[in-house]
Amino acid sequence: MRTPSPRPPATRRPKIDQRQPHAKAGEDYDGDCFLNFPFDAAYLPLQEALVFAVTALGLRPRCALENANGGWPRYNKIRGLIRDSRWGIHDLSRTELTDVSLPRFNMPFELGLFLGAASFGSVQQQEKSCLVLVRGRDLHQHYISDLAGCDPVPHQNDPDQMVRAVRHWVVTEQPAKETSLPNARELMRYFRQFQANAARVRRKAGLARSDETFTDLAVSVYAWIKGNPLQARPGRR
Amino acid sequence: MSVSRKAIYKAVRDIAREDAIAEAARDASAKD
Repeated sequence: MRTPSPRPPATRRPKIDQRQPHAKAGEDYDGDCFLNFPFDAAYLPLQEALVFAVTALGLRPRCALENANGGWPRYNKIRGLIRDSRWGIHDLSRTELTDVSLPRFNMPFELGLFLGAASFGSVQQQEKSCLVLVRGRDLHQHYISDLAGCDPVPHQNDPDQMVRAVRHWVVTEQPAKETSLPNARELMRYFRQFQANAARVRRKAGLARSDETFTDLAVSVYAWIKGNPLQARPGRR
Repeated sequence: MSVSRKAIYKAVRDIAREDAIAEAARDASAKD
């Protein structure tokens, strides 16, 4: 078997009204992965690694940026995405002071919402699993000590480490899939192949990097993986 | 589907075709 068939990106508006707090989760709950990361240009290489790893490992990346409807408060979008996603990746590495000397609380807030759903939600919601990413090993203890013992994973701002962390989390949470998934080295090599072609795809599609939306990236990753499946290594089913 | 998504799918297909043609040309010249 090759890599899991990638799930098409979420490009359509959800059928379920995300404004209804008690509505059931979406139909693809077991395959959807909520991504909670900082929205800034400096993060783009890590965002690319995150979306690539999630898609290549058979999950579908979901993010508040996929829905540009300004009529919905962002909180409602996030709540709906968290409800619809069994999996969540929360990158706290940019919980740092802004220009006005206040910390960026969005990422820890959304992690708290995710953990709250997993703690107090329905049986289905209690199946949630999340990966918490941080920059260095111990820094988070200074700003979110309640996470002590939760083993956040440092990525050191390195896309390769991001890919490795996501892969490790997925196979730890879904051990039955381990033999069918690429190992960390294969996945990192696969990611570098995508990176080498990503600029070409953008150029041919007439997209500037600065204009690329989250959905454009998710579509690029999906289309590239679909067209360039990773070949099976010996011993991998 | 939006214009940019169509363009992305087309770009990926075009690149795959170009790469396949280039690889076939390399194989052919290696045999010569």
